[in-house]
Amino acid sequence: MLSRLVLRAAPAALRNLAPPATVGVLHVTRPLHTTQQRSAPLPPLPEKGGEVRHGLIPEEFFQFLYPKTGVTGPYMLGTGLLLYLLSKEIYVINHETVASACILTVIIYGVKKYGADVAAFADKLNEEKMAKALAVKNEAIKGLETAIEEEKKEQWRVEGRKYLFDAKRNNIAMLLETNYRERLLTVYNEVKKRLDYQVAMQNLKRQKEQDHMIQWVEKNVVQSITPQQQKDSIAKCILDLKALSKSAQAAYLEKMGSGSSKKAAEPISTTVTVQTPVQTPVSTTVADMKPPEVKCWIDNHEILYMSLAFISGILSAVLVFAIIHLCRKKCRRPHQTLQEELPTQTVTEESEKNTQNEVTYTTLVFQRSRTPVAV
Amino acid sequence: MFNALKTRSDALSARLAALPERPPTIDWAYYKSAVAKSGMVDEFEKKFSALKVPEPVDTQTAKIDAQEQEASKSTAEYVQASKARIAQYEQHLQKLKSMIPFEQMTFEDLNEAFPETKLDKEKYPFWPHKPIADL
Repeated sequence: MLSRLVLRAAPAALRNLAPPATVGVLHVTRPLHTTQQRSAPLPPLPEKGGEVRHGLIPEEFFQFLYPKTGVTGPYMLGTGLLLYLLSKEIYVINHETVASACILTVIIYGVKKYGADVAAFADKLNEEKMAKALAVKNEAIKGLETAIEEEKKEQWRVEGRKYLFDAKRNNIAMLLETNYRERLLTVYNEVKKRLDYQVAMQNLKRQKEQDHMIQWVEKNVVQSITPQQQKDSIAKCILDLKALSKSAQAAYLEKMGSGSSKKAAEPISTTVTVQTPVQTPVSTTVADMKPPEVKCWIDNHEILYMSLAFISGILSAVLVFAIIHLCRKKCRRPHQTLQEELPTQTVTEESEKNTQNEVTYTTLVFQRSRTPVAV
Repeated sequence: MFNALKTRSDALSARLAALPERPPTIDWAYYKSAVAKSGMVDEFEKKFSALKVPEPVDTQTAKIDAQEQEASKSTAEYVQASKARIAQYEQHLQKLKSMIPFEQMTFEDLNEAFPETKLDKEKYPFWPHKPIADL
């Protein structure tokens, strides 16, 4: 780094000095270091420091001694030096020697074990800084490039302004054309309206005249009908209606002949109206509905079976209770005879027997109580 | 802005398309036979055919041409400015591209390349030479 500073400072200093081109005897026409430009890009720093052997002695020393003494030269030199120092007591061994030996051991051990990791960590920190700076630079470059692109695009866009004005001119033309067409249309509409009005007026007048004439004619005709004519026309109407009703009855009979047999053949009235034949079929159909209903209830099989089962259940229950009752009666008689026959026995025997009898009684009762099985 | 123009022109074109190019012709023969008043239909026909509908006069095209001229002038100015900007950007871009890699830079080099990284030793004479908040 110092070399760099020197390199930097040198031109500046020399520039300041800047000896004139011609000074007396010196015919120096070539100017010295008076260029204003900086020197070419500085050489990059070396990645690694100088090679070192055993962490202390630079490699150049070994290379320096190699031609004369070979590979073992520096080591012999070192050993000799050390022995000289120790034997002549130029370096005195005291407690500090021991302390330094221990400290150095620890230090060397630490460095040897963790040195690489620490170096990697430091390098990583540096790398991160570099990466950040690089990212900033790249983004700046990208931003500038996009900005240039955008500017070029804007210039291209600006060239398209012609279309805008063309569109405006188009709009104007369209407006004019629309206006003209609208005017033509209004003219046409107005003329047509007037003509249509005339035609409609004429038509209306004619229709009114027609209606009036028809009405007048009808009125006159009605007035001209005489009473004799009326009577004749009514009689003719009645005859016509009778004929019509006979034909209608025949048709109706044929239709109802294929219906149910229960219907009674009622005499059909000879009234003019045809309503009564319609009423009779309604009543017959109502009577037909009732008998089927009664049959349906008894035919229902499920109800029959249910009722049968119910009755049988009741009967069986009655039977069982009767049997129990009879058995009870039977067991009570032998119990009474036993008590009469043995009055002289000892109290214990009696009590035993009684208890036995009671036991048998209770067992019988239990047995009996078990017998009525559920139906 | 452009959308407003678009909607307006669309509306106009729709209106134009809705109107027929020519109004339907009037059936004079029918009216001659239908209307009882003699001469009325003939008179109408004569006047109708004689009528000339004037075409609307165009007043705005001149204005639009003037607008166009103005627009071209302003666009020329804009293009000039845009070109200047592009030149600036290009210069900056060149500087960035020809920079030495960060690994070989010193802090002096960095300050030259990015002047904003230079620490202001007059304003903040004590380390770290920038407000604590900026660390």
